[in-house]
Amino acid sequence: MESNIHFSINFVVAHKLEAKPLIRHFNLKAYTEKPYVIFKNENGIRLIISGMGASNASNAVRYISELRGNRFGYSEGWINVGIAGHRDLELGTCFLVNKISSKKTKEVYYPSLSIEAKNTEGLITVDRPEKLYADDEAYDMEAAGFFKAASMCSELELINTIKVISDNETSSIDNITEKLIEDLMLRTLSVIDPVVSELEKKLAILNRVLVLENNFLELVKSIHFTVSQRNQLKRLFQRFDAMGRKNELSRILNCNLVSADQLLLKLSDELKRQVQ
Amino acid sequence: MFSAIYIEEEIKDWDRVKEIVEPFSNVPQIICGRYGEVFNRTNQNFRIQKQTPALILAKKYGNLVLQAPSGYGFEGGQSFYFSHMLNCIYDCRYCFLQGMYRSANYVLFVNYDDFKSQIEKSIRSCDGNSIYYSGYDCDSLALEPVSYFCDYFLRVFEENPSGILEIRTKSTQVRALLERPPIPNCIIAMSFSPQKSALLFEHKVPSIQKRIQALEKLQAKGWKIAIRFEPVIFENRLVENYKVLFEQIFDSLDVHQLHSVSLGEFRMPKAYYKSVVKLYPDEELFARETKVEGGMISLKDTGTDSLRNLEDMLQTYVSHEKYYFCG
Ligand code: SF4
Repeated sequence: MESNIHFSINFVVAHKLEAKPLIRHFNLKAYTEKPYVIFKNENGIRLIISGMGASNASNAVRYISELRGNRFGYSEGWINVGIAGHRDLELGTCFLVNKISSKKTKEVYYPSLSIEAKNTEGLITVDRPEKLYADDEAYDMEAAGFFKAASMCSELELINTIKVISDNETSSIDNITEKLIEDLMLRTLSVIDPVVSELEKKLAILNRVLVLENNFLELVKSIHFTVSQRNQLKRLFQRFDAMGRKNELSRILNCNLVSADQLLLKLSDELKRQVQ
Repeated sequence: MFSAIYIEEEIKDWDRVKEIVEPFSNVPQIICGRYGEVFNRTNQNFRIQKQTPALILAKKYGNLVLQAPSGYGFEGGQSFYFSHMLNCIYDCRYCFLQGMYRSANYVLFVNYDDFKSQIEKSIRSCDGNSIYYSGYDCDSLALEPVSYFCDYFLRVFEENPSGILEIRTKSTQVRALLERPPIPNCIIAMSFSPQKSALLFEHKVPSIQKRIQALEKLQAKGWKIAIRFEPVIFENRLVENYKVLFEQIFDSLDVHQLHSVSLGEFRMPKAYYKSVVKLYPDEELFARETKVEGGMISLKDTGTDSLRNLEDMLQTYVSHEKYYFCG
């Protein structure tokens, strides 16, 4: 098995400056330099610097999702964090995005929210920095590309976008400094932490059975299974588990049955002896 | 109560919509196009979504009143169903809605006037009585404080006495019913499972005792009550467990005043069952031995002819005329 970490949460951040406070907060270490700068820690958190713009965000999602070769099919969580502009929201306002509209493609995405998420806003992803703030929504340059790509490799409930206001009608984009970005991003941590723990809970539910299946498959790795036999076997594992009969399952798997057919038959026969 | 309220652009200024969202000023309100943009997306996970469901306010187009599936409900006229809502605030593990919908969000169709005209048209098109089931794709009463379903639809049926309304529920939200005079062509049908199954599988559902109390109040007020023992989930000591339940219910209610009592086993279309197993691979209920008949999955009987035994026992409490099997 590759590691004991059975969930991954991937942060997608446009610029290194935006990433700094997150790198410190999650104690992330440099992992790769090229083609993307990626950081990670031992607790399943990874961060990729995507570069600016929706298509860069989208490419970064695809890259990191394929990086580890998630062959067990574990679900992963996704968070896009960054700065955004808004007509009149105060600088430093942090929020979860409840709707993402792409100005270019006209596509609209609706990230799921948790019951606790009170501070939420709509967001428009644009190609160039927005200085007019035409609509009463926040503006960024990545979220639409990020969300579209992440929704192709993950459940929608595992994808979040968190933004912090960096510019508005009274403080233009031109006033943004490195120091300001760092200060603003520090503020996002209070929104990020509960989102991360929510994600961990969801991932624990979604990945629990996959972890179990893979652990049991390890015990019979010397037996050859066809794809359909393997699927039958996994379902039998799940049923033993659901019935609270994992010990019995381990005993059967350890009793040196030599063929896939033998094993499948033995497991189904045992399950028929239902105890309720 | 809701993680968000999505509102279709087309209806965002309707009075009913404003009335519904008014108490939820703290909940994010998000304007969407058609409700399907949120409800029918791919890659949603019903199980995860069920933890923090959103409310979607929408307008329903097309056939608002549909023919009831054969074998559904009691005799007494042509049968139809209508769904002003999709999904339910309860979380019964055996519920087919989990397999039918991609989303666990609640959709509330607020164009009640369109439902009204189609129901009335349907009633007029039938000779004699016709029956309308509500609560097929939801629990009609459970969201009453938000939907004002009773408030509106009871008036529709009051004005159309040859239409018989069955409200299928597990809810104790009966205030709206108790606060108004009963109408003879409305039946409140409460579903029950024995304590053991209720505890294992009926998450968030009011206790059996509370549901019985709600029925007692309704019956005392003159409402017609029906009891649905559905779905029967085979278990050891099934008959003994149902005996306890039957006694609890029939000792508390006036059996002679009951409209009907039915029994039906756990059954689910194969495709829905497959989806539900994917969502809950760790659920004991879905680890049991099953059988397939006519595209429907049901559980293998753990005893001998258990349903027959239950039917026999049930008919010692209620007359043959009041009983039907829902299959
Ligand atoms: S009360 Fe009915 S509709 Fe609601 S979850 Fe239970 S079975 Fe499904």
